[in-house]
Amino acid sequence: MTLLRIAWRNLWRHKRRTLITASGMAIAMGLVISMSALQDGMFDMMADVMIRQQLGHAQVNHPEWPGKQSMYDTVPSSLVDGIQALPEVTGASGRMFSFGLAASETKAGGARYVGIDPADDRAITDLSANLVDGAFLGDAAKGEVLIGQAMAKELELAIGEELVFLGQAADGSTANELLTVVGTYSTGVDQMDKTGAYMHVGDLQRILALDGQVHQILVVGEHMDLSAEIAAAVSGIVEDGEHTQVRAWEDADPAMAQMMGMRDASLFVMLFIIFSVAGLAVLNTNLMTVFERTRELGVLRAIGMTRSKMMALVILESVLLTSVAVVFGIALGGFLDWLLIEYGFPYETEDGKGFSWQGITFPTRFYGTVRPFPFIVTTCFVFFVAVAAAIWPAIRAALLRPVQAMREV
Amino acid sequence: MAIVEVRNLTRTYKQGNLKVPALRGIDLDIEPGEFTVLMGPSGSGKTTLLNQIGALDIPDGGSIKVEGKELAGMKKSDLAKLRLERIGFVFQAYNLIPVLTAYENAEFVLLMQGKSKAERKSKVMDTLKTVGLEGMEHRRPTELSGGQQQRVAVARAIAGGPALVLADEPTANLDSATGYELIETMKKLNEEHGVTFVFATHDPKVMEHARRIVRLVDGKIEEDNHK
Repeated sequence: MTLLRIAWRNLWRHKRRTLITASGMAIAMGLVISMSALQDGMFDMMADVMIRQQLGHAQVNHPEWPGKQSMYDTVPSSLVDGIQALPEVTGASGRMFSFGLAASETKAGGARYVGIDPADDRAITDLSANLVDGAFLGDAAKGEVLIGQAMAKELELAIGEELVFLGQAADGSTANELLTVVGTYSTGVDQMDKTGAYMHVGDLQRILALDGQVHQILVVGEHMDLSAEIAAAVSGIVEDGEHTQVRAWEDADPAMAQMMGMRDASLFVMLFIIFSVAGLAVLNTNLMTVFERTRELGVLRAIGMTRSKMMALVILESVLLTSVAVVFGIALGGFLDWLLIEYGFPYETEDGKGFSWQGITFPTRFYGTVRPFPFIVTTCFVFFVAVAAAIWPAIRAALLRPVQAMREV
Repeated sequence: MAIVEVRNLTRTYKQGNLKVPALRGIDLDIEPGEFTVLMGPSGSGKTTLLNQIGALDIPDGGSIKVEGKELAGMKKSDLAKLRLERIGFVFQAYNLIPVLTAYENAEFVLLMQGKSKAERKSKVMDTLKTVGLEGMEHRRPTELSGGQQQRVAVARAIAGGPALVLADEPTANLDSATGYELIETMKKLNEEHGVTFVFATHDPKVMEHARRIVRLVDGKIEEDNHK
């Protein structure tokens, strides 16, 4: 108790030095915590948007579909209604895919047709964010098609003009249809903008002679972290078996899951870099403390303080200094986190849109995500630095010889 | 049995390539209850001898026994324990812990000895009263005069119940009247509580009260007079 009392009071013998050192550590902590919140927010948002659009939090498909992507590997679209009714689910939408030819009056090229249900899809993601010209698909199947801006240019197609769909239907017949271009979109990804064409899933089912079938049902819930629960709930009504399978997004895309698991790695890198510098400042303060008080420490040794207690005293001072820093660092980090949650961080491209990646356009503002983990890890790390930065000064203090130390002025 | 037995003690300091002998074969016994002064000119070895007896420094040769225990060969932690429990120190520059109050400074040794809170309180209050600092328990060293600070140092030295108190020039930083009062206090502690004091000083006031004066010259005992 007395050691603690001495250490605490020693801390305030040089108020300015203590406050400067503690402030430096607190600011470093606040920055690490808030940077982590921003990064988590960006990461979560990007992952959530990507997962929602491409994987769903869970997905239902034919067991052969992921590997072969054969037209015939479908699941009944009637499953969508039952899935949508589940309490764990906030949205479900069936999708259909087909490769074929897209032609205008003068030109033709390969296309990847994606059939979506615009009404159901809105609950999952807002594809209309990528719209450049014209309108988005209507909720009813009316032979509309939305094509990439690059494809429109390539095929010399304008809004309102007709695109010829040419492909193969499931019954072996040639699938052909005249579709009206209602809008163009741009994702920034050449391949998607040149070949991607969205249409109503009802139209595609009809053209491919696959009425009532879809290749994939994307299911989303409140958050991607709940994927296991969502998948389990869907499995409750969709029988896993020869013709259908239910997978959480982590199973559908293990590489993405692995990438998500690595998000904390950057937190540790940040911690290491920032607190290597802060640690030197603490080391300097601790060394100054020992040098300045050599005589006093010599007296403590003379009147019987053991080396271990001497070391404990120096380490305790460093830990107390850090405790002060931690209090302010957590407060600062919390405040910055609040700002990030409340006001977000603007991230716009020159044309005022959110940036696009992998065909997905992200919102124009990122918001922070607060997790206890960065607070806990940063605090532990700071205390580790405090102890590490006190070891050398503590050893110096413990090795002081009373007679020589007391001669110091 | 003597509290301190010193036999053929030698200590030489090195200053560059030069060897400076500070003690050249000291033999000395200190009996319980003594009020002994080590006197001599500067460089005669008074403080060096005091440091050896107090287990603050390691001699080059000879032997020191405190309460029958040979100091040579003792582990550093055992020497620290000996200083903590059996030896009190009073230094010329008071050497109080500036961040602690008078009470806490006096309490410090007891705390490190592991005494209970009640025992600490009772001993510290008694000790502060004995040295004349009643009512000043909560003052920090900077709020005390030099004489009062040295009284706190005396309280710290005796609070832990040592067998021996070593005082190195305790009055050197005090004015004459304050120094006299301090010596009176220490003499009272010696006479009424049986505390054994060994001083290193050339202050005549201390010598006036001493019952034994050991005169050192060039690291050797030249005279040893019992009054």
